[in-house]
Amino acid sequence: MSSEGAPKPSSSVKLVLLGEAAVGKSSLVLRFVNNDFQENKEPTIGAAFLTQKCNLPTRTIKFEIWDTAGQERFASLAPMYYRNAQSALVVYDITKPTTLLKAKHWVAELQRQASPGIVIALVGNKLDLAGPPDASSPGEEEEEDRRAISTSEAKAYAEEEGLLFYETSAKSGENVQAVFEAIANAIPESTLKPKTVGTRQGMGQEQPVRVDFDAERGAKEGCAC
Amino acid sequence: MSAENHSATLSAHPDEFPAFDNQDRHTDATIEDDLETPRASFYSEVAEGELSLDEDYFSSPPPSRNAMTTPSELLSHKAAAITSSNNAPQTHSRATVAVSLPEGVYAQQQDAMSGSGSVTTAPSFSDSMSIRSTAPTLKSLGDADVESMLGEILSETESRFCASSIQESIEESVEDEDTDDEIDEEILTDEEQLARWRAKKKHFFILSEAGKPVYSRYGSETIISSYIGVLQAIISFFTDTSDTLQSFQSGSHLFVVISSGPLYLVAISCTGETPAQLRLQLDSLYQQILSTLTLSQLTKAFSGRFNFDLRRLLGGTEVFLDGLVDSILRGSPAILLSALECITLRKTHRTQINQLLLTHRTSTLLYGLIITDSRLVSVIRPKRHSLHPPDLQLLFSMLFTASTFRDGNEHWTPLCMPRFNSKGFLHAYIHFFTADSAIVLISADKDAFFELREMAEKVVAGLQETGLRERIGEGVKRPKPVDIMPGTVIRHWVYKSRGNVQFISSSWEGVERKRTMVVYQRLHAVVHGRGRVKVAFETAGSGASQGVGDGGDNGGKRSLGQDGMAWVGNGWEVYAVAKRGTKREAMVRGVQGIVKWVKEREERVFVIGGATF
Repeated sequence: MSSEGAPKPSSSVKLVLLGEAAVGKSSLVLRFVNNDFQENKEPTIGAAFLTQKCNLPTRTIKFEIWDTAGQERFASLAPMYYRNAQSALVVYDITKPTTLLKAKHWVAELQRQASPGIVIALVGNKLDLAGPPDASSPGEEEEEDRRAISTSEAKAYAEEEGLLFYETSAKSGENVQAVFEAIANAIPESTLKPKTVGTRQGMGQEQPVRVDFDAERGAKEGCAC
Repeated sequence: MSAENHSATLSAHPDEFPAFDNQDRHTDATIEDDLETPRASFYSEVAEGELSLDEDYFSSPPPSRNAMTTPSELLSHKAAAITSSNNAPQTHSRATVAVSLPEGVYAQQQDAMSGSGSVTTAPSFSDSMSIRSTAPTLKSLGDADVESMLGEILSETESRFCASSIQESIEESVEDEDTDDEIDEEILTDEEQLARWRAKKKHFFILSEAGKPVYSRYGSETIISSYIGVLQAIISFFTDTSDTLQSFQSGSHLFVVISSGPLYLVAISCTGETPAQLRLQLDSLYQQILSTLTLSQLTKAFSGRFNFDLRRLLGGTEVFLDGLVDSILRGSPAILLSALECITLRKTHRTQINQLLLTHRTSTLLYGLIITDSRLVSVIRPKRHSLHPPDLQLLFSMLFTASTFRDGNEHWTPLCMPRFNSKGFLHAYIHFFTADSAIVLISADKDAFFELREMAEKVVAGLQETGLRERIGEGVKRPKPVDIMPGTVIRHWVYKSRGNVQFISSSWEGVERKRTMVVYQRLHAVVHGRGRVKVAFETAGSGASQGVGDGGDNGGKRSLGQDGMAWVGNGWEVYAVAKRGTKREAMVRGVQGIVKWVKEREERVFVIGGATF
């Protein structure tokens, strides 16, 4: 993981995790930051802020991570976290089709409203619940395959939208480090700044975006049945 | 009356309780349904005084005018004082408020028994009922009349109070409380699940006006939905007739209903709380929902959508409701007393911590708190804004009963503090800098995270450098009664300072918490009656107990096993338990020792005033 290396150029990268509740956003971060996993983690409330270094051959990236809550009522707060973010991890659960739908909504919102050069990775989590990749057809004995979203479907969508794409398991750790490294590599050198922790930049203050639960509720009334 | 299992000793009391005490929450007296049994009407509470929830937690407490009372003085007030408060030895030399006093005693004793369901009715008892139901006129009677009339009533109710079956049912329920939660419910059949669900001694339900389930501590949706439906039908039956159902009794179960905003909250209990106590518990659940959603959002959710399913919006916060309910079930002095607990710190240390917070304060900070082990260490606030204990209680409960925030990470979350402003969110920076200690910085500015983060870093570093972090760790330890008074009979005690809306408790180590809390709960019901009972005893229940000071050790019966005493002074109240059969004199002496001990170090055990900016 991130070890202390020789002095290399180091810069901060803001990263936000978005996605429906219970797809494993916090677990991915926990795996990346502490190399740990907890079953039955309690839902995130609001957002958690974590930092973790990622060592690349030529430079060190310090991720400042906003791990946001996936519940509906927090959706209106998301702009606060993704504004000025240089990267985003949009997470879905490969066993739940609706979560990919939600992920697509997030991608669209980011493309519309986040910083123009934002690096977005689409991440299908809970790979450990899928059967072995070479199992020809679902329904064979042994391990139960709970996958509901095929790799090819999600990958096609990611390519179309120009997103990085990974399937991960926060539980086993598979591909977790890879996602963050891929993001670190994909951040254009030009956008890298010296460390910026401790400024208000991350929360963004230039354009006041109205975050108002009431407004959100009003807007959603149509589909709340 | 032969037995004095629970004789309440009165002294004249000036009717001038400080307004801080939000325990005294009286809903307007509505005529309660007499559906099930005559007992149902016991629970009506008479409006008395204003609801005073907006107490300024940090205002200085009113000066204590009470001299310490000697044991002999206290003891000399026994039941005799009830009927003739004017002639009672004047411990408290204030004017007697005779009118409200006797009636209140009566009502309160009923309250204390409620939920047990085994009250045996005697003819005169029913008479007193009719007196009770015309309560408004009672007040206008002359003192003498009231006294003579109540002399009879009191003597009746006192004997009633000893009804052993009451004790028994409560005791059993206390005893069996700790069961089974660990078993995975999924492996059980429906019948088993239902049986398990029905065996719970206490249930909390939240439902919408339309009868949609919002929350239940126990039971799957299939189990609870029909019950929720029945509850909704009962409640709306009364609503339709422009009446308000507040509580009713069915068998040994007391049902208490509150209607808050678009929600109904229902408690069902057979563990002996009074309706007022259950109402307080329900209200804390309601406040928890508000803290997640705000009142505006809650109201809006239902406006035009009678059938809205609120669970969608509450998603993820059930853990906080569960945590709150579980701490209620475990016995929460904080909720019973509506007060906060602090850690013990030398005044200089507390001031240093306040200074640290003040020094690094940023412009957007509203409240800054350091909290450890669900207890307050230090707080800073703007001069013009007070902080309300119920808001802090919610915050403490969220921080410490769920693991969400306790991962050592930094959190930034919207939070409504309903007493501060139920309509809007504040934003809280929350960071546990040790396993048990958190710094919480609250701002109205949603973009303040990074500056608050920087402030928190400096404060935590400051705590570390100055060794205050260790002081906090040491302050967590609660004293044992014997540490304070070697050889005392007191096993456990809780002291509440009404002015500060805070309490201090002795160590729970070796104390049966649940049972002790039941004793406190009963005593609390007595001293918070309208009668302004100042001293109350609870004797380990058994029908065989005889006489003062003799707990009646009859071995065969299950009991709470402890005697209890409550004593209300000017601006404070103290509750204590001792071994069954302890002489009252010894207990009184012990309690006085506690009061003296606390009063000598009020600035250590309470946060007085808090630091302002």
